[in-house]
Amino acid sequence: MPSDFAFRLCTYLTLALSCACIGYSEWDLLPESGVLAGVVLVLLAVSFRSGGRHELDLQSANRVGLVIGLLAVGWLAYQFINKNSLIYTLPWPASLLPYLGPLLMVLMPAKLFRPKHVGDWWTLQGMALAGVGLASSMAEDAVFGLLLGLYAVAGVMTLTLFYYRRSAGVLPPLPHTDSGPPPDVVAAGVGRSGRLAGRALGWLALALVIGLPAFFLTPRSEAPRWNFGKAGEVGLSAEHLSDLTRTGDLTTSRAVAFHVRATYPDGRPKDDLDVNQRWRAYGLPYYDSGHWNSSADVAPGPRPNPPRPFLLSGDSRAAVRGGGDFMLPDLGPDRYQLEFLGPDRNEPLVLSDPVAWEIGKPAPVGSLIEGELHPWFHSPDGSFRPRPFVDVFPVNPVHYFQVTRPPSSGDPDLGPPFDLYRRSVTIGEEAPDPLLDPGGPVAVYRDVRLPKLAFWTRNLLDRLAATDPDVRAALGRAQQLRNFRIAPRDYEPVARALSAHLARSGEYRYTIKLRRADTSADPVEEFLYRTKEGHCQRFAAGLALMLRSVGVPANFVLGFRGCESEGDGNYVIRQDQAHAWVEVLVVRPAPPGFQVRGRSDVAYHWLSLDPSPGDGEEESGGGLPGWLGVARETGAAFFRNFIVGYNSDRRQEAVATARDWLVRGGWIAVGLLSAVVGVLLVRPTLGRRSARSVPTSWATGYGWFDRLTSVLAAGGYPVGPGVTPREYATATGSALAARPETAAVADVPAVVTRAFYLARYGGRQPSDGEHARLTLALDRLQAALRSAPRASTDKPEAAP
Amino acid sequence: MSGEPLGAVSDELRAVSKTGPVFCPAHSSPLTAHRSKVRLSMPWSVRVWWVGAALVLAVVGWFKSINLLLLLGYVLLALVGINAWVAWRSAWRLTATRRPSAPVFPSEAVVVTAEVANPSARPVTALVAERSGWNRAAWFLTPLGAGGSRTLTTRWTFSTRGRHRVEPLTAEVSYPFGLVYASRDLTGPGEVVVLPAVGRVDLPGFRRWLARGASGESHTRRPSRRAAPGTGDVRGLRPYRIGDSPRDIHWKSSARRNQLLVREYDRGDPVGLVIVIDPWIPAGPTRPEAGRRLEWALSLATTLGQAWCDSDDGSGLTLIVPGTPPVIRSGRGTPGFVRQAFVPLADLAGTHVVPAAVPSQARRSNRAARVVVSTRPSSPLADALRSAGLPCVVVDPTAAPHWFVPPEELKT
Repeated sequence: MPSDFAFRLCTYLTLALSCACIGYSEWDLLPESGVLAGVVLVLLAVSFRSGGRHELDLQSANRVGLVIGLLAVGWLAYQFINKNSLIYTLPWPASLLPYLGPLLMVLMPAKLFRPKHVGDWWTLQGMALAGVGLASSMAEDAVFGLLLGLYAVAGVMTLTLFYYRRSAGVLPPLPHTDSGPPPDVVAAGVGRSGRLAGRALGWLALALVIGLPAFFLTPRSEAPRWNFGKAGEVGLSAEHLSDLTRTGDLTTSRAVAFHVRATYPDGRPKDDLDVNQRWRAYGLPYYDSGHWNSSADVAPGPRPNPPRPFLLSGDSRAAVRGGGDFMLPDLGPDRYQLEFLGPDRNEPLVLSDPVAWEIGKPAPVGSLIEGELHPWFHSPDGSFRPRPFVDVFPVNPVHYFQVTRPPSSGDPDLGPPFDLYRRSVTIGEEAPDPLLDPGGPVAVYRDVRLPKLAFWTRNLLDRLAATDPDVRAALGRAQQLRNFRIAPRDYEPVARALSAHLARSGEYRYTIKLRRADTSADPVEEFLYRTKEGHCQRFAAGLALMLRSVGVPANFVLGFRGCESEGDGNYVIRQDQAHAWVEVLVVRPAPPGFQVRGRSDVAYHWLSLDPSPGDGEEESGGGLPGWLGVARETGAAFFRNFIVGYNSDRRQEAVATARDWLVRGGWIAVGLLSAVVGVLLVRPTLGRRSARSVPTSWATGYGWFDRLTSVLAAGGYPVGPGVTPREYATATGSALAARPETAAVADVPAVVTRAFYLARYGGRQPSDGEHARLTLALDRLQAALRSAPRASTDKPEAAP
Repeated sequence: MSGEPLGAVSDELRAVSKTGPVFCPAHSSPLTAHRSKVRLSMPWSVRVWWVGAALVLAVVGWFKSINLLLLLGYVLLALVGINAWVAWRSAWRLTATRRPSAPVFPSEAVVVTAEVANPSARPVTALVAERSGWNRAAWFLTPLGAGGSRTLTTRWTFSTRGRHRVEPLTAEVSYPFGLVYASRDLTGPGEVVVLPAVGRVDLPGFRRWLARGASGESHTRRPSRRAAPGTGDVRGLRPYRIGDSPRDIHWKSSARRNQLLVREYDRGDPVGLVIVIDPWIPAGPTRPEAGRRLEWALSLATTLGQAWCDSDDGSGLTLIVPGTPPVIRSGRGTPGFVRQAFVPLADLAGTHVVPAAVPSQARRSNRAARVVVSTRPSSPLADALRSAGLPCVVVDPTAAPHWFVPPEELKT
């Protein structure tokens, strides 16, 4: 019988873990909830330590409950008054859920200090379960998963111990119920917590074995889940915005973003696409308080003028006309064609980055609409876009082509040249420098309203200048300009230096666990100055704003990086490959044939820079720590991908994988496994049936006598029909005596049967010495029967 | 348990081969291993709260795509299934045999004993319950080890005579979580025989009353002179030993031999007692007075039988209950015999038609005194006995014999 200590320990542990789950899940939403969780944990410890000596009577408990209720009402009223509370910042009804956690936590110790009967213990466990359910809707990271697992183990242990205490009549029954007299506890065989914990783990594992297949097979709902402002999934937003204020662990989504087919002009598939290929979706030029937007309307406050249209130069204007005679340009012998399939027309359209294009040639991108190829055109931000007229993509999914070529080894990240002058300026006419024009098209890419950032960036550049002569020269030139501005010719070295600092200095760490130490500060400044860790968007945002703060035009760009080959030139790009980087405006000498309105000697390009330092994964060492690290990562990945991140896409993918595995021979393994499980399940039943149909021994409850009959039965002397034990002993004794191998043990059946009669009908149990002698005699009998050939069972010799 | 007397131990040993290797008694089923089906049940509170909570978690988790909630709901439901499976297996593994209980008198403790065994290879945790009316007992086996057995004993008392049904010994298993209950009858139903209540009998007074009553009734045969005293024939003389009664000194021979000699007796055949019950009650609805008369008669008969058997003269006792066929119990009057012999009185109901036929056992010995214990002053049964030449005395509640003090519950 488990002790009261074990029961109380498990119960309090379950409650404490439930509080921990609530506190952890609400830490980012309601910091006071985490503090309250700590207070409740202390109260639980005090209650456990006091061992129920300080229980309140019913009246006092009701008074305490009333006080708690009033405090809760006051607290909720304050939340309603405070316009910055979750009630107003989170959508309904998710906004109310975080407030339930503290209430549940407070009720737990309040209930513990009440007189307890079975119903109170059920109520406590119910509150703990409700708290864990509440927490599960708000947190999904691996740490929470660990807490949840611990709660589950403690909960199962508590449930078992609760059963023991209840069945033994130790816990008072529900009032006004007739549960009869408390039972006598007959035997004591359970109580070691270690064994019970092992069993609890086993039962929980069994429950998971049952529950997980059902979980995996359940079709997924399409309804949106509650939004608590958490980090969410890695993926590209279709809403053309980026929110850097979110915290929590990013989850990965294996959902397919789009498919690409790469072919050479002769139709051969291209199977060597760069695994780090970037796919540009869109840029977000406007930044305000942690939010990047594509439109100035989203964020309040004064804004510079919106960017004006950049015009294509030269013959490319002809391509804009489009039509049935449009052909993708010939970009050289090493060119190849990318065929994009799959993205929904409401999803962002992507292109291989950088776009390869040559002066005087048509746009390298075209959409296939009703069998005709329609060219894209140069958009105001320098990228290529579909033609903005009537329903561009009447079909869904979108189907378009891009011709490109391997990037040059010298400038693999440099985009195509484009014109930067105003429409009103004609070619050859003198015009103000567009880069220096405060009202010009570049102004939006310099917009940054973080005064401290310019000072901080300049200090950083001073540090970098100590080792980088290009930066040193750029700083020298910038100091000559009014208001310390990096000169256009120095945009590139300064941008590369800052990008390299973020990516390779070691000061910054990549992680998808998004934390914020100070929510009142600007997220980007906080990232650069304090936390110095985050995901790609934080790095890209940091670089873009650093560059803008010293006058370098930069754009925050979202897209994807990487691709998974499916063979035969087909590639799939998934949402967890979403990425962010920075495009910096650089000035290069104009290529031959390139003319802009103001000048003919320079051309403007977007240079893509990726400041992210990689995923920061550490190599697992060898030995036990390495193995543990691998196991931890594998478990975390399983939890992330197949528990919290399991959605309809992943389900379809899993089904397809399972189908493929079955087709490739997995059905043999499934069949073998099923056969083994079937045998294991059926064997006890068969055993029972055979035992029922062919009785060979007795089950009297006296182990030594039952052993006698089973040993004799195994040796070929089954119990015959209608015999008494004495008859059976006499018959088997005669049979044993008739064989020389067993003659020496012929007296054993009679001896054991005599002891059985004395015990069962005479009420005289064998003493320890007699029991030992019986065991010895049975051992001798068993050994003799093993060494002797088995007696024929065709005709039971023992039966009279 | 049937209405027959419990068989002796030696009669119980018969193995049943067709249904399984178990022992069963020849006449009753106290040692019969019972194989009944396992019944699974779930308390309504578990249905409402546990299953309800699991379904709510699963549905909310599914609808709002909160996978942890969905999984939590499935795990809760799986725990119910595991509980049902483990409990079912545990309940199926247990076997039990019930020991017969000797008939008892009211307010006397009866020992109810059962032996529960776990012949399987895994331990079993179970709640075993025994119940009979308001008497209840339960044992929580935590656990019963593989191959182990436990003898479970409880003591109950019953206040009224009768055959009290003992419900089947039930195993109730809800291990390991207490969510689903698997119950199974480990034995068949049993019974406890409670004899009529006993009062007090002044046996010498009864014997004197018997002799006086017999002589007072002209149509009653006078019993043998030596029936009343407890002595027998003189076998011879022997020297006096300290402690011998002076009345046994044979003075003539002592004087002749100049030595104290005392008489030595052969013990005479003990006088038997035949108790005939006349359980008559008036026709029509049973009135309380009639019931009290019947109980008084049965109590007197039982008390008389018990006192007769407790005496150490070893005389025989015969109980006759008229009926078709009549119930006749006859044997040497020992304390053990009386409990078995008077079992028919445990559930004897009154009748307005009492057969007046004289059983042959009533005339087996001329040395036996016959007492008709009747509920009415003039018993046709006594008349029939007398007509058959069998002298008897009749005692009924109206006689209120001085040698009988009824039990407390019948005094009112």
